[in-house]
Amino acid sequence: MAVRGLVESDAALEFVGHAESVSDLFRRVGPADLVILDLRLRDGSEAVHNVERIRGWGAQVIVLTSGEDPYLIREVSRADVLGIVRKSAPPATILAAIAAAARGESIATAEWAAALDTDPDIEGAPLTAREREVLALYASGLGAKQVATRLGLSENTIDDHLRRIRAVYHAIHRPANTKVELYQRGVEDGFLPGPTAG
Amino acid sequence: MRGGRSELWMRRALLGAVGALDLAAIIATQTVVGRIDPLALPIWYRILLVACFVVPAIAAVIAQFVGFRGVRALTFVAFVASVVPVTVLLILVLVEPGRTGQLPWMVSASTSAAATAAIVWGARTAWIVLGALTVVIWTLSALVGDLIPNRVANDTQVLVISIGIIVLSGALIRSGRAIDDATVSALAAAERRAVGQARQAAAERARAIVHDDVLAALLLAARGTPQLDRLVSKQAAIAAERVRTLAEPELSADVLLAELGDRLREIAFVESPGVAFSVRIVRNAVGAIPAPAATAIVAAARQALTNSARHAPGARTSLILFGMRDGIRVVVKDDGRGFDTASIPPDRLGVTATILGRVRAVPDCEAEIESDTGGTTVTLRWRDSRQSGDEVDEADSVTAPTPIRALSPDLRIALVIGLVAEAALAVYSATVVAVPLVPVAGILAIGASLAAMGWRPLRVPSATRSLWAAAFAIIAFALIAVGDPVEYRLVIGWYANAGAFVMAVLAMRGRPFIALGGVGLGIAISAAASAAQGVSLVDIVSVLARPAIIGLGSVAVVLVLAALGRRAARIRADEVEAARADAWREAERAELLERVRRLDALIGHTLDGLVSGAPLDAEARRECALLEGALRDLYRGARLSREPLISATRRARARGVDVVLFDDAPGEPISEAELDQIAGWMSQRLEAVRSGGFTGRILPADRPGRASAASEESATLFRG
Repeated sequence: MAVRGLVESDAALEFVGHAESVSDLFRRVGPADLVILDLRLRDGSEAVHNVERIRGWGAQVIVLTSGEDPYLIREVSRADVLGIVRKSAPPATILAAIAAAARGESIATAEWAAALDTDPDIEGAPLTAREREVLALYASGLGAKQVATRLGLSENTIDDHLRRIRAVYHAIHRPANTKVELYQRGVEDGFLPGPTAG
Repeated sequence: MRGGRSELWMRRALLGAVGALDLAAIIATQTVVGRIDPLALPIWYRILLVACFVVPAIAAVIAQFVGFRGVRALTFVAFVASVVPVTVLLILVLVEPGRTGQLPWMVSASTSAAATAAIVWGARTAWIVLGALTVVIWTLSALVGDLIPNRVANDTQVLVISIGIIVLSGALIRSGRAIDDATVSALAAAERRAVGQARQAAAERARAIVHDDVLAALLLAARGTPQLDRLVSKQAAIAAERVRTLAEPELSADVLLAELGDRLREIAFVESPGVAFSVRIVRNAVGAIPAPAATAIVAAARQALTNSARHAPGARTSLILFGMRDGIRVVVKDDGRGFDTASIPPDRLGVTATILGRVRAVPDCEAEIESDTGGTTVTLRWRDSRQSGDEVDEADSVTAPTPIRALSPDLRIALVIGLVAEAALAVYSATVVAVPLVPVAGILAIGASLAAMGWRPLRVPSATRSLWAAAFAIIAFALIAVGDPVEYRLVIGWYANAGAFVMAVLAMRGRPFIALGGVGLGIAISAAASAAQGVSLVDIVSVLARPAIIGLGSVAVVLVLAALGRRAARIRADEVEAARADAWREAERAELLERVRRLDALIGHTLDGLVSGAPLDAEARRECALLEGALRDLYRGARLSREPLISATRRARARGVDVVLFDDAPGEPISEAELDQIAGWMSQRLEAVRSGGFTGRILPADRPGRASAASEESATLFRG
C-alpha cells in the first residue's frame, strides 16, 4: 500500500487500485496496464501461478520481493515478469523500475541476476560467454552503464544481452504439460532435430 | 577398562560354556568313565577335585547378573578353581614320592584353565598358562608312571582342544568388542547427521518466518505513514507471535498411528472439505512414528491437498493413510489435469518441492510426485528401519567384523598347530598299535578333509567341498572299527576326536549343519561298529563323548554367534534410531531456541514497540529500516554478516547507502580467517561509499575472485 504514494508521485503513472489477492484484483479493480505483485501473498498462492493469471488478464507484472531468497526469485523469474525489485530498495529505485515497467521495459536488478547466476541449471543453458559475463557483472551489483564500460560495449548491446538471458532462462524452465509439448519445446530450443520431410 | 554390551555378553557366554562343560565332565568322570589302576588319593582331595569343577558352573550362573568387573572377577575365580587340583596334586606327589597309578582324568583338563585365562587376561597369558600346565601335567604323569599310550593320546587331544579354545575365546571377545565399537561409531555418525539435518530444518523454519512476517513488518514500519501504523501493529503482532512460537515443536514426541490418522482426518475435513479420507492398517502395524517424520508428513500432506485444490479444482481428491508393519504411507491423489514431472526439474516444483524436500530430509522418509494427464499422486513414506531389518542407514553404518571373520587371523595358526599335534599322535599311535597302517590312514583322512575345505578361512566352502570334507571325517570315525577291540581304549578313539576337530573347523567356516551331520553320522557308524565288535557300552560312551561334545559344541558356538550377530544388529539399529531421534529433537530445539534468542535480541524490542501501535517517529522508522537490512544480511549475506562489516553496513545505511550483501557460495568452505579478511576488505570499500548503492558478494566457486564489492563509482575483486 505504501506503493500507492510512490505511484501517485509520478505524473506519468496512474494508481488504479490494490487488492489482497489476484482473484480480489480481478473482482474489484478495473483494467490495468501493470500490476505490482508481492512475491508472497497472504492467501498462500504461488507467485508463478499469480503471474500467469495476471498475464492472462492482460496486464504486465513487476514483482516486489524481500530479496533474501534466491530460490523464490528464480521461481518467479520463470514466469513472464518484467522485473523483480527488492522492497527495501530506495523508493526512487522502485519508482524508476515501476515507470520503466509501465513503459513495457524490462528491469534487471542485482537480486535477479545473482539468483540466476547461481542457478545450477544456468550451466547447461545455451548462453554465450559474453552473456554469462554480463549476468555475473549484474549479479555483482554493477549497473548497465558500468557493465557497458567494463566490457567496452554500448548500453543497447547490454540490453540485448539481458533480453536474451531472460528469454533463455524463461525457456529452460518453461513447463511442458505433455510429452508432445516437451518434444516441441526441445525442437524450438534447438536441443532436438526438427522433423524432416520425406 | 573397556566393556560394551556385546563384549560383556561374550564374556558371560564363554564363562557359561566353561561352567557347563566342567559340570558335564565332572559328572561323566565320576559316574561313567572308569580307570584301570587309579592313583590312591585322600578323600579330601577327591572332594576338592569335584568342588573345583563345580565352581565355574556356579560362577557362570552368578555372572549373568553382574557387570563387567563382576564377570571378570568370577572368571578369575573359575581360573583359580581350574588350576587348584593339578597344583595340589603336584604338591602331594612331590611331598610323598613313590605314588603310582593313573591320574584322575579331570586333573589334565587344561581347557578350563586356558579358556578362563584367555577371558581374563587375553591370549598371550593363556598360551603361557597352557604351556605351564602342559609341562606340569606331563611331569606328573611321568612321576606316577602314567605315561601310558591312553594318557598320551588323551593329553595330546586336550592340548589341541585347549589351543582351539584359546583362539576361539580371543576371537569371540574381539568380536564383541568390535560390535561395541561399531555401535559407538554408528551412534556418533547417526547423531552427527541428525544434528546437521535438524539444524538445517530449523534454519529453514526460521528463515521462512523472517521472510514472511518479520521483514514485512519492519519494511511496512520503515516505509509507512501514520495512516498505515494500524497495519504495522497488526503485522508486527503476527511476526512477534511467529517468532515466539518458533521453538515450539509441532509434534513433541513419537506419534501413535491412531493420532496421526486423527491429524490427517482433521486436515482432510477441516482444511480441504470434500476430500475422501480413509485409513488402511494391517494387523501388527507399526505403533508409533517419530515426531520429525510425523511432522514433516503431516505438513507435506496438507500442502499436497492445498495444491490439489488450487491446481485441480473440481477433481476428486483422496487422502489415504496406510499403516504397515514396517512403516506408514500417506497418499494424496487427485484425478485432475496433471503435469509432466519429467519436464520440470525436481527443484522446480515450487512450494511442493520445498515441502517434499523437508520430508526427504527426515531420516527414513521418502516423498515422490507422480503426475500425468490422469491426475497427480503425492506419496509420502516413513519406513521403520528397526522393523525392516536394516542395521542403520548406509551413511551411518560401520562395518563390524562378524564373529566368524574375527576368527580368521588365528584360525590358520590353530589349524596348523592342531594338525601337527594330530600328526604327532598318529605317528605315536602307529608305534603302539598292531596295525600301524590304521593311524596313517586316519591322519590321511583328516588331511584330506581339511584339504577338501580349501585354505581360505574367510570363504565359506562350497556344499560339494563341505560334503567331501564330512565324508573324509566320517572315514576317520569309521577307522575305530578297523582297530583291534583290545586296542580300543589304547588310543581313546583318536580318529573320532580328530574327525570331530575337522568338523568343528567346518562349522566355524560357515557350514554348521553339514558339520553336525558329519559328526552325527561318524559317531553313529563308529558306535555301531564298536558295538558289533563287542566293545562295552561304557567304553563306547567314554570314547565318543568327547568328539560328540567337540562337534555339538562347535556347532552350538557358531549358531549362538550368528544369533548374537543378529541381536547386536537389532540392538544397534534400535539404539541408532533412538539416538538419531533424540539428537534430532535436541538439535532442532536447541537451534530454534538459539534463533529465537537471537531474533528476540535483534528485533524483540522493536517488534514489541510496533505491536503497541505507538506512533512512529522518523528515528523509529530509520531503526526499522536498519533492522530490516541487518536481518536480510543475516540470511542472504550469511557469512558476510560479521564484524566489522555489520557495523560498516549499519553506518552506510544510516547515511543513505542502499547496501546489499550476497553469500553466493553457500556450500563452499571458506576459513574463518579468510572470511574475516573479506569482511574487513569489504568494510573498507563500503566506508568510502557516500551515496547510491553498494553490493558485496561472496562469489560462486568457479569465479576468478573470492568476493566482489561494487558501488556506483567502482567495482573490485577480492582475490585472497
